[in-house]
Amino acid sequence: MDLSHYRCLVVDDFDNVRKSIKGMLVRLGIENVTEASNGQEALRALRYQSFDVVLCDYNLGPGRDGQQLLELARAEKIISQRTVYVMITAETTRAMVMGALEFEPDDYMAKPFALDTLDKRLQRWATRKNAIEPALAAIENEDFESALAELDKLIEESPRYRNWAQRQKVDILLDQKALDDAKTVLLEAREQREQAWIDFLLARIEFLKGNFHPVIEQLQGLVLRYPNFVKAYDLLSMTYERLDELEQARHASEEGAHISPRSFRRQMRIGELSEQLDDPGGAAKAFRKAVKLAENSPHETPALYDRLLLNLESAAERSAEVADEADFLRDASRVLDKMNKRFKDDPEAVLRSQIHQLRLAAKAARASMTEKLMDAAKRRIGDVSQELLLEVMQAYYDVGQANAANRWADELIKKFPNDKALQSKIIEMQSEPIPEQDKRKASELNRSAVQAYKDGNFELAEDKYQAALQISPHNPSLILNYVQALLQLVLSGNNQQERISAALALLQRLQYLSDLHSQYERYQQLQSKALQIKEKLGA
Amino acid sequence: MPDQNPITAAYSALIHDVKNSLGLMTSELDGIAAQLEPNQTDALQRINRLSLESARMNNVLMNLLGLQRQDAGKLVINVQEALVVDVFEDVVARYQRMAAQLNVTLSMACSEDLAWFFDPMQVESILNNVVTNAIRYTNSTIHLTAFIEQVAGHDMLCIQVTDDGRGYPQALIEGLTGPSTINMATGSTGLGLYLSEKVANMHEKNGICGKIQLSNEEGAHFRLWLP
Repeated sequence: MDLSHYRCLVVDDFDNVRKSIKGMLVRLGIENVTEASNGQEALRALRYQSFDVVLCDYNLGPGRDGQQLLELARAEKIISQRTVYVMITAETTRAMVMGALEFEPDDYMAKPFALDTLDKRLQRWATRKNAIEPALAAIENEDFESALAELDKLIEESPRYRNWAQRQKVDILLDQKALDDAKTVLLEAREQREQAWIDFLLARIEFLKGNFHPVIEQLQGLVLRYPNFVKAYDLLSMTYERLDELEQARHASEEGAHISPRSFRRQMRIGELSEQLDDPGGAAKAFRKAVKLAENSPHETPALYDRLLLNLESAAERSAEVADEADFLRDASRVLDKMNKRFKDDPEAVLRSQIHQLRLAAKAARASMTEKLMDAAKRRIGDVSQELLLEVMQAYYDVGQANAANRWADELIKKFPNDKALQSKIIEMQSEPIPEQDKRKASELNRSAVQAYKDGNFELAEDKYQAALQISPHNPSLILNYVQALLQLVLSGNNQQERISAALALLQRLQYLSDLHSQYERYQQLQSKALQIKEKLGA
Repeated sequence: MPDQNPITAAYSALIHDVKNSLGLMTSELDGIAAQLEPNQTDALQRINRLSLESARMNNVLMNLLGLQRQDAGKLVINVQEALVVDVFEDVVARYQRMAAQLNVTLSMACSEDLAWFFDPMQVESILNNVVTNAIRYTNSTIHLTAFIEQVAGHDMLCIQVTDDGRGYPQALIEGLTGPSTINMATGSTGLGLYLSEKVANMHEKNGICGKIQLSNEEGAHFRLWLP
């Protein structure tokens, strides 16, 4: 076959390797050879003209690898199925690129390869192109009946293209939502030999049918047999999400990312799941990787940076250790710098970055004041009254730094290990970790609720307690007062089920209560009373 | 690849680096060979000797990568339906010219439509190992054949490489046991065979595993059985 009209693209980060492959192609009579030294250049070339063959090294140095390039090019339809995409690898294993089912290379070559090998392969690709052309043309014209007929012909007559034809057929059937037909084709293929892609698609069909529990079983079996089949982890993650098992969903995505760490989408997903799991530290970690992977791609947007910064700020807020908080803040300011550089001409991004700067500056200043106070208080711990030492703790609550308050409490307990009175005061404070002002508001509402209760107006008392708990959700005596009012209302016979459930849920909040706490005994009494009432109602 | 162990990662990087150099050397050698006049047979032969040794070195490096993967439990195969003739053609195309220059005839016989389920890249790599060694040790011929045969009631694909050399050393035939059989004195490491055996074993169907068989008949006889 004469291939002199062929257009080839050679992608390799090594100048010498590119030249040598180009030299071989020229010696084989192919003059039209374009070179690209990285993913960027390759994409530009692919957008600019169409190629018959792309010879791409898997390892392209820093930045994108050959598989990412393929995924991007196929997903954005920059290259058609008519372009033969050949992955050149240094190893005999396809492990590293396995699993991107829709975007598998058309062929692999182990390097280095000889001129004669390339010659043979070029002939084979040309033959393949001719053989699959009728099916491709029918698919392109959305003439699915003819396409299926052409594919059946290939399956029957050409073992060399059978695998490809089977996959295409399943794809078409899935596109047409003919799930059961697709399943039949897969089961037939499976009769011959069990293969990862078959089992994966069988699982996907169950997923599309909404049979989520069987899907999980199937996929877990699949990843045991084919631990590198990345797509299985992605589907597993989606299935767990449908079942509302977010922790498991994230775990599955993380396993996928461990095998194939350079997928932007996977990192975004881990970030999103972490946000849903209310884990800003985990989300920040994933979004940071996503930002790195997005560099110089259309994914690199101000919104992505914004999201990373928000999570870093929340993570800093929730850090138990000052050192962690400082780390998150330092990270955030580095990300902010990068954001400023990247989007200096985007007014939205610039303004957004100013907002983050304000927040970070406030946090950083507060963090440094926090430490200053802690140091000063430690130095004077023996010289001042206990009231003042407790005021330090309250001050931390006033500015929303419960973690600092707890650290200070630990210091106090260490200093006065035998002072039970002090310890019980500390516990009292820890059970209501809110600003002084709010404490006063809550206690005002509590007083009027108690009055209403005394007057026998339990419903008014209920309203007041509810309002008070909005402000101080953990105050034990407030909670117990409210529970008492609820139990009265249950006994008077209104909305019994709802109220007893509410009472028990409130009592749950006090599970942690130490027996040193002044409300401990009362808690125990009300707890057993509530359970008794519940049992009676149930019977 | 997420390689946790920095030493392992460094080894991999090193191996890839050497492999790249080797690849360039081979293509330079090819270039020089192409420029020689056909009557410069001596020079051509010596270049081909160099090419053969580069190919052997490349195989050793591939085997080291494979061994590393196997050690880390990451050696996996990717079974698909493929034509045996395609693999044969690749192997023959890779070595035929070189073999001819060294007065070795590399030939194959295989039905055009013999299809089987196996990992074509791994099997090609096994054959590359066998063929480069055979070129070194045979007298004048290397022949690749493939056929299907019933073994204990199951169809198996048999891929066979035969030569007319002095055959395998007895120790190699007796012990396909592991990298511990590396024999510095004879220069035969057995590493390639060890990995070939592993890869053959990983081909499994209904509890039947693939295997490697070595024997000496008129020369060395290598057989790869795949279920």
